[in-house]
Amino acid sequence: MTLRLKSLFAAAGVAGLAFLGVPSAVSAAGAKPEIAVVVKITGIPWFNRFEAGVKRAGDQLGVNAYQVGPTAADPAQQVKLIEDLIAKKVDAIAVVPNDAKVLAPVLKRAQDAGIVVVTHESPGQAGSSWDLETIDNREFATAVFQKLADATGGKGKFALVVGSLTVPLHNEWADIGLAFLKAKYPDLKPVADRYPVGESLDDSYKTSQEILRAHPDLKGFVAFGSQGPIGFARALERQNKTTKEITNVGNVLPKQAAPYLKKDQISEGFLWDPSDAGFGLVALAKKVIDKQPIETGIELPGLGKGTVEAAQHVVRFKATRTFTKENVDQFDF
Amino acid sequence: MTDAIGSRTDGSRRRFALAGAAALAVAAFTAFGFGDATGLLRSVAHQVPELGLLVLAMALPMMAGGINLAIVAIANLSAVATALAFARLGGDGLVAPLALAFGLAVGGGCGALIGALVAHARIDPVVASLGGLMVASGVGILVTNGSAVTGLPDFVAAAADRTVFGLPLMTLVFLAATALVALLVHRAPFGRRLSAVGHNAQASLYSGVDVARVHLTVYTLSGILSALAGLVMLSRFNSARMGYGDSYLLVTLLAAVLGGVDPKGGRGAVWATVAAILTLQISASGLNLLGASQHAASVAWGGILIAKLALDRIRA
Amino acid sequence: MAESRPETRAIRRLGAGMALLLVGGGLFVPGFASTDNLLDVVTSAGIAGLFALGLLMVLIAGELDISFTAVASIAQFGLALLFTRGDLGWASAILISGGIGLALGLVNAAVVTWLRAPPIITTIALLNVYGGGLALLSRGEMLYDFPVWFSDAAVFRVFGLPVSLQVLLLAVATAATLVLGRTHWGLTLRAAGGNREAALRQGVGGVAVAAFAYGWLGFLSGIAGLAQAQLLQAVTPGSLIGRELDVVAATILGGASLAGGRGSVGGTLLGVLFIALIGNVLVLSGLSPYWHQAVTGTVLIVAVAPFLRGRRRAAIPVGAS
Repeated sequence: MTLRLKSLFAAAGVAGLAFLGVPSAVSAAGAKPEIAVVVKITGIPWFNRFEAGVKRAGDQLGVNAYQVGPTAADPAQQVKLIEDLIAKKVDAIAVVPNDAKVLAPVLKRAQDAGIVVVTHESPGQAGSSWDLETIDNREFATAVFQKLADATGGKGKFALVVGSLTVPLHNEWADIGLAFLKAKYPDLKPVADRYPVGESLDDSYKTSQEILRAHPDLKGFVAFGSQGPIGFARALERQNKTTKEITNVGNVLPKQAAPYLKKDQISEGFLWDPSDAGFGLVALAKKVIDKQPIETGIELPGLGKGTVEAAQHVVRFKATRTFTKENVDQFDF
Repeated sequence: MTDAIGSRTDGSRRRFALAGAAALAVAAFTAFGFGDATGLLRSVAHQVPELGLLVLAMALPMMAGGINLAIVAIANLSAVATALAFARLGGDGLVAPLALAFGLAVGGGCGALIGALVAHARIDPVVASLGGLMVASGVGILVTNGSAVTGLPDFVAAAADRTVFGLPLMTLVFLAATALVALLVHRAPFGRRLSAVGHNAQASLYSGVDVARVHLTVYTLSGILSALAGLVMLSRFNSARMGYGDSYLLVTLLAAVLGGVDPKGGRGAVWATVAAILTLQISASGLNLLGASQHAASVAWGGILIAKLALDRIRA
Repeated sequence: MAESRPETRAIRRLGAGMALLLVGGGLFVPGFASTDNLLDVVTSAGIAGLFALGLLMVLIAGELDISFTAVASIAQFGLALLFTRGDLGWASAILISGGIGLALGLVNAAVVTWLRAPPIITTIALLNVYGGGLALLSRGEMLYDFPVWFSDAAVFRVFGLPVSLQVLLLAVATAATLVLGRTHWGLTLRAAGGNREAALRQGVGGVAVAAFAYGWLGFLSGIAGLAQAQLLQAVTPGSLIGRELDVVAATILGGASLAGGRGSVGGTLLGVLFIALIGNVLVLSGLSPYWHQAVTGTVLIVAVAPFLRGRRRAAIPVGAS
């Protein structure tokens, strides 16, 4: 028993000693500031595109920028990654949080350790000095619902899909949109509360079919979460229907949506380019590291000029892109 | 047959596996070289208590020849229960211990439910804990609508940073729980019964061991340990939500097996599993800092688990 | 057969539950009692049904595998990759995805039987190796834009004949019934599952049984991957992963037992349909979709608990290995 324990702790101890003895190679690596981007989940198209922007920023801005992320959209795993980055003493951590509340304590710890923290899609994040927003939420949501109203003539029933009930951004868009409809198009009504299936093609397809069954007089479909419109388009296809009968709008990745836009199974797609966001996030972190002023009129490549909302520590750009069957082939993501 | 758990284990086997994991860690460190060793230790120290408690929650049923797939769901449900109690009652005076006890009771109750299914309805532990997992996460999601419960009193989050005698409070909680479990498994008569049931439930039934009671105890303890892990997460994340740490299942299994718990039951050493989770966390951090993809890590964990089982098989 | 009694009981219970759901749904839920809706339920349960019929064979043989969703993901990803390289036909599409599945199933059989550790642990490890490996190789990129013949309508084509998912499921179910009921293999499987110890001592026989059971599951997983790719006209690496436990639940609900030796094709299909119907009723009635898991879990526990209690005299199935 004692022998075994001794050997175990010896093994663990060797591991410990090994790195205690290793002089810090990283901090000596050069004057290039190290900016680590922590995304929600690694290995999905959205964040692959995001990473392209991060790498581009690294090359163009002369920083050591790279992207990491957990295998599942689990905030606990993000906490672990950030804790490790604190240990690594990077210069800046840029986070796209899975859960603002969970990350607050660890981000504060990063700041206490002298690390610059910026976030994306998390306005008012505790523990972060700035938050980057690539779109104006009110404008974005209103544009989507305006399209719905235009295409349906402002009357009838529609279904509303979000990524999940816990994605604050999607639900904010949904709230804005519903308020907008109530004020301007009171005859356009949702069939039920929002369905939380927008991130999974499987689920959105299945739910779309069920919605079509339950509501044969459905006039429109609005989905936040990039798989929502695709799933609904596929359900329309199965029933030999097109957007002439039922409007289908929401956010999509243009390449994936292209065939459905052309077949009239998606009316119009809305999004911004994730690589712009990735680039902008690194650029913003670099500005903070360099102690450059962050104020309205700030310019970031790819995003244009931004406005600063001091109360929420938000730097906001308006980079919404709209995809139609005519323009969709210009986009390479 | 009726030895206390641990005394029959083959030390060299376990030493070998752990040395492998340690070598991995060393490789990571030397290849990379960290700026600050204490920073890394702190990072690992932050993560180990919740994972370590979950490993114990997994190891106990495994020693009895079972498994508990519901540990993470129970942890989250308990944290949600405590968080809701705080939200409803505030955090003054007697409320804090009551809320904590409530969370532990929910965890223990879930564990006991699974234990009863295993012990009395004689349902396979995989099925029983799968049902427990679905019910626990279903109920948790229903009461929270899937969102995080926040608005906790300040001392909850502060507890994560609290130190006692220079050691983080959470580490102390974890060490105390480990010591208790080790005592129970290695020194108390219960350990002997647990070992017997794990080796051969039928034979121990005939030799007069109350098998049902052992199962009930084991799963209830597993539930309480999960709840404790949930409370640690509650403090660390300053919120509770179903779905936190959903990816911990593999790593807890791996640590238990690396630590010498025989997946067929009957054997296991408590402190060795703790050393295993430490080593795993250090190597995980090493891989992180090397910039390895997290998917590579999950391939590695799965591969190491199979390799360890293969090693046991060769040496058996 | 004497041991078919628990299976019959499971079917009877499920049938009663199903009748309740159907009547209740028909009376109170608008849009439920249409042929179209019920056909949709069958379609959406089709993928899970294929998995479950595969898993059934493994459970009957006294084994367990939860890596099948990752196997299906790899098979469909391999297929989708080949689509981008050249034009295949239906026959080669089926052969390729089924073949990849079969190969991985055989790997599973080899690993599980050789390691002799509880298959739940071994296959959790394999699930992570397969899933993580796929994520690494594919970088998560979604594949779509498949050839026209593959997207045309909702059918498979086997030897030029159109086959809908429902028909495919029926065909597989028939095959499984025949294998289990009419062949020597079926008996061997049940015998092996009913008494693992004896099967292990049989040596080669035990290995063959495992190879057949895991291979069957692997093959059907490959086909399920193909079916899902056809249905969605897109392959997202790993989109199937995470559903394995639901399939295990459905199969057990249908009367199969982890102790081996028991389970029926009809019960399994009913189990899958039952869970799909619960989801359908919840969505159509406008209740929170979050009820689904709690309801399913409760049904599982309630269904399994009394059902096993009065079962056989053999004392303890747990940890008696």
